[in-house]
Parts: sequence; structure tokens; C-alpha cells
Amino acid sequence: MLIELLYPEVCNLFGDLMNVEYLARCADAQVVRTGLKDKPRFVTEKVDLLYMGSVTERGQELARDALTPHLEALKARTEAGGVTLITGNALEIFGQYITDDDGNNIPMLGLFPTHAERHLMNRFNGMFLGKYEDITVVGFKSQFGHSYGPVERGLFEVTRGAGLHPGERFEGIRVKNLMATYLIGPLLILNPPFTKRLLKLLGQGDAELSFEEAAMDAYNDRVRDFSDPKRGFEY
Amino acid sequence: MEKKKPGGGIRFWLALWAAKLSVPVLKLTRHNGTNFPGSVAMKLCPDFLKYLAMPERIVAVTGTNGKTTATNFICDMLKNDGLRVVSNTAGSNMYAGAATALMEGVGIFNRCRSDVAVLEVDERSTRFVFAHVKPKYLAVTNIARDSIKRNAHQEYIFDLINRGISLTPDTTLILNADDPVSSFLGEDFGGGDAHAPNRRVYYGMAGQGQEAFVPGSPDFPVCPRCGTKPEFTLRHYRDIGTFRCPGCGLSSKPRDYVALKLNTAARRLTVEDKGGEVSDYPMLSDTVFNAYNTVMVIALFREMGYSRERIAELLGKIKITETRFTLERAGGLDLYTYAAKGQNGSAASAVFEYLAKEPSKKELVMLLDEHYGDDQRIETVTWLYESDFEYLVRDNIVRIIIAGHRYLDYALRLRLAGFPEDRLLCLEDENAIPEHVETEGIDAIYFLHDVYTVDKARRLRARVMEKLSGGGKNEG
Repeated sequence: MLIELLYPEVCNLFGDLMNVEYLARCADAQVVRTGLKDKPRFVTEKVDLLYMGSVTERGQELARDALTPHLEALKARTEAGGVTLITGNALEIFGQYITDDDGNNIPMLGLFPTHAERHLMNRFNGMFLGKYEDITVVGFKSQFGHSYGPVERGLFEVTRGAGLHPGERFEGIRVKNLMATYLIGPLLILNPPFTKRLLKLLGQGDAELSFEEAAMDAYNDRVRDFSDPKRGFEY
Repeated sequence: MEKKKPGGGIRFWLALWAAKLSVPVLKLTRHNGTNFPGSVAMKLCPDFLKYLAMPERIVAVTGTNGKTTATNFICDMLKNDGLRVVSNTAGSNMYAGAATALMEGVGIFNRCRSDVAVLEVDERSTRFVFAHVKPKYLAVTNIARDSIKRNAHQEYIFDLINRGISLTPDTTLILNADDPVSSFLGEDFGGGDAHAPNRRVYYGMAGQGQEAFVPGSPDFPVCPRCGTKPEFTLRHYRDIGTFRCPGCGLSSKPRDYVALKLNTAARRLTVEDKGGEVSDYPMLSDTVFNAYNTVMVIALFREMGYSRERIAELLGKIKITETRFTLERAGGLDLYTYAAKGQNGSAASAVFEYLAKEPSKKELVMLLDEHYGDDQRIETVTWLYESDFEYLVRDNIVRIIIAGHRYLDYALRLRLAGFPEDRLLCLEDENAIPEHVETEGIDAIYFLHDVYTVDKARRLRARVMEKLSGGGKNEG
């Protein structure tokens, strides 16, 4: 299995990159790290999983600029069912535009029908409890913006916490096998059942996860914790 | 000498007197060390600091890691020099904390009674504090990965501090030349503020022949000017060192004050001034990050006009505050409490690197990032994956004990880092730690604590000491 990690020099916040390391360990995958100045591998050859993680605000524009020449290839890959996972505010790069604090609309790639509204003096921090198909998903959010607009299919259904924006019942966006979520950090390590489902989608069958028992123990404990109605969810 | 301020009207005087009155009340009720006086003053008079008299000489300290330690150094040295010093070392480093400290430096008729103010300023508060407080010097330790809840990322903090700096153009900036992030403060890399006119002085450290570990999550991943991956020719720890961008040629700032040699065994530091004079100074600990704090303080005091001899004398009289580091001996072992800051991947990793390189055989008891008794204050566990637990996979880290609410997360993280299962103990109940501490084959036990868990660390250490003494071993 080949995993392409896009722009790790800027898309490297909050421990997101450990998702790729974890998947690689679980599936004995090869990981290629594509820098801002490199031509992405997915443009010329089959890449099983394309991944992009949380990024700074200036980094969002650098990543957009780097990906823009390859937008048609990305669209074709998505249309053909290629698997892509986007975490954190990298999701916003694939929307129409980002509105900043001064009201400027910063154009983005336009793959999603959404736009993001960014407020640098109002950071949102919260926990998330939701569903991916029949699987319970837990996670964390820490972001300056939310996304708005018509979404046909979310990635997760919200049980508790904020969706694409507070009040929205979907968290994240899914277009075929392009999956984007605002959840940050080691999403795949925190959610072994989701990771197993993802590996199945990637043709890996029922792969055993690295330290699966320890990961399941932590996951079950967190699901219990996040399901406690007395627990605070935003902080 | 005092900075004269225009009168603030009746609101200011009410605010000042209410704040003054609250101080003895808080002392009587044993609530001293809070920001309450400053908060009261700001509520009654939002421009309180605009009218408050302040000493001519104000030193501010900010940065991700080391600012509390450095502020304490500066404060203690100035006090030992016989000056009347006000500071927020016992309180908060936010706006109200600065207001509380500065208020304590004036009388009830707003006459300044202090010679100097030393303020630790939270990075995010610089733009508020510097609206009315104009420091003569702003010393910056570094900008690195921190709590994501408050500080998001380095670029965000860089821009916020720059906003603060833009409000105080006459302030001399004392900057860490070896920190590729904070050394460019006052310059515009797209954050919106034009180049600041502030005078700048740079401190740093020459190579010491020791190879630093490369961070898994770097603090300076790309050149802020052109987006190219920088190349490091020297690393002291994390991304603190000397870099050059192969894309645009941006490189580390030249140093005005440089630590030429660290003699950790003798606890001495050799520093060369910008004039080329070389002097020896006491080092307050054997860590490279505290050596940086010391060089920064030396640069600051030289800029304030102190002689090299006097600085060495003043440094020789101080010690690191006990909330950061303490040592006891029992059963022939060194028992440390050691601050490692949970939720902060850069601080935790720097401590892990120190523990890995410090050669004693040790057991680590981790008390980081725990329930603080208030669910709303619990942050993410994402920082565990920004921290280099991999550094701890060394033969001299004989055993790790993890306990508390997040023990399952730590257990998984340490296993993924490659720490051997048979040397790892994960407990839910932290009170059970003392009964599981093993002393065979080790020289030291480190109780690593967060800002909020220092008392817990000391209590557990006391119980371990009791156990060791009861076990019939000789007190060290």
C-alpha cells in the first residue's frame, strides 16, 4: 500500500501526522512525503491513500497554491473513488473560500460547496462524539473557523459536540471516498474501529492494528467518558 | 525615576483605592497572589494602566518556554542589587496580573514607590499590556509548540507578539538569535504588521559538540519568507540552533551575546559580549534550556549597564524556583520533582531530551496533564503525539510509571514510541504509585509534574521517601 502525505512541512500541527505513521505500521505501507515544491505522486501513479493534516493559516494558502496546478488530477482521482483523508483545518483548503477577520474572501480549491469563516480571536475548542456508519467516533477540535454551506453527505453524524459548525448535524464532508473532518490529532489512533473500516476500504481486509488491545482500551474508556452527560464538551 | 501620567478622574482613584483595599483583605483571607486587585481596578476603570504611575525602568519577559524561570531570575537579581522591585511572579501573567503588580508599586496617591517593574507577560496578552505599559526592555525566550487551546501554533503567537511590539517602538528587544521563530520578531512575514523600528539585541550559544535529537514535530518547519524547508547546521535542542534557508538565503541572526562554553559539571558558563570581552558566569542548572535563560539575563543586564563582574555576583546568589525543580535524597537515591508541562509538546520534549542525555539510571513517575477537578479545563490528548516520547527509549530510563485519569492514553503512546512493555507500569490510581516504585538498579527517581501538579508530585515523593526510609536504607 502506498500512502502519500501532502505537504508535511506545513500540514503538521497537533500530532495529525501520527495518523499516517500509525496506518503505515498497521498495513506495512510505504509512505511518500510530498513537499510544497514537489510534484504530487498521485498525479502520475496510483496512490492508495492521500493524506493532509492540520495547518497554519498562512500554510493553508501555501498548500492551496501547491495543489492548484493538480486540481484536475485530484478531481479525477476523487471521481474514480480514490481514498483521501483530510484532517483539521486542511478541510477548509478544499472549500470555496475562507472569510478572514477583515471580511476578505480568500479563494480556496472549490472541491466542496462550503466556505469557512475564520475568527482569529475566537478559537473553538471542544470534544466530539459521533457516528461513522454504525461505528462510534470520538475526537477533539481546536480551530479558528467553522464551515458553512450545503453539504450532501457529512463524514460523521454528530451525537455530541459541534459539527461542521455548531448546530450542524454533520461533522466533516464526504465526497465519494474523499473524507474530510475538522477533528484533529491522532484520529486513527483514538478510533481503532474507524481505522479498521478505513483499512478495509483501502483493500487491507481485517488487518490487525498496532497495539490494538491498548488502543481499544483507551478508545472504550474515552467513549464512556464522552457519553457521560455530565461531562463538559466545550472548553 | 517615575513616569508621570495624566490624571484619570474619579474612576481611576476609586479603582486604585478599591484595588489597594482588596490586598489586605485577600491576605487576611489567605488569598494573596491572585489577580483580584488588578481585576477590580480594570472593572472600575478599564484604562487603569493608562493613569497608573510606573517606574521608568520596566522589563517584560515573554515567550513559550522559560519565561517564568527567567522572570524569577531577573527579579531576584534586581532585588539582590538593592532595588525596589515590583513583579507578577506570584500572580498571573495576563493583563490583570500586570495591573496587580504595578498597582502594588504605587502609594494611595499614585506615587511610584518602586525602582523597577519586572513583568512576565503571556504571549497573547502582549497586545493588551503594551497598550499602556511601555517596557524599556522586552526579553523573549522562544516561540515553540504550546497548548493548542490557547496558543494554536507558533505562527499565530509570532503575529500576536508582533502586534504587541508595534505598540511600543521604543522598547529594546532582547531576542534569542538561535530560535528561528522568535528571532524574527519585529519583522513582517505576512502577519500584517510592518517592520518594527525597535532596537534589537540578540543572544545565543555556540556549538557545544553535543548532537541534539531531531524533533518529530518541529517548531520551525518552513522558512517564513519563502516556504522552503530550512537546513540546520547546528542544533542545541529542538529547532534551537543555526539555520539557513536554501530557498531564499534567510538565516539565523548574528549574536551580540554568545555563550561560548557550557561547563555543566562545574556549573559555569563562558559568555562573549558584543565588544569581544569574555567572562565566566554561574550556571543555575545543567540544562541547555536554562543556560539560554541565563544568557538572556546576562544580555539584559549588560544592556541595563551592569558590569560583567556584578552580573556574575548577582547570578551566584540566586537559585531556580522550587516550583520548577527540587531535589531530596533518600535510600541512597536522588529524588527530583521536575516541571515538564503537560499540553506543551515542545516543553515536554525538551525535558525528555534532557532526561535521556543525563546519564544517571532513572525511574520516571509522570504526573502530567491530569484532571484538575474541573472538566472544562481538560484539553485534548493531541499533545501526546506532538511530544517526543521516543526520546525516552534509552537504557538509562530504566522504568516509567504512569498514573491517573489518562493512563490508558499514556500507555498507548509509550508503547507506540517503542518503550519496552516490561519497563512500563500504568496505573489508574496515582495514590498507588509509592507501593510500585522500585529502587533496584537506579540512581534517581524523577517525579515529572505539570504546573498544576507540583504539590501532588511533592506529596508522592514524600511518601516514597517514607517508604525508602522505612525500608531500612540509609538516608542520603
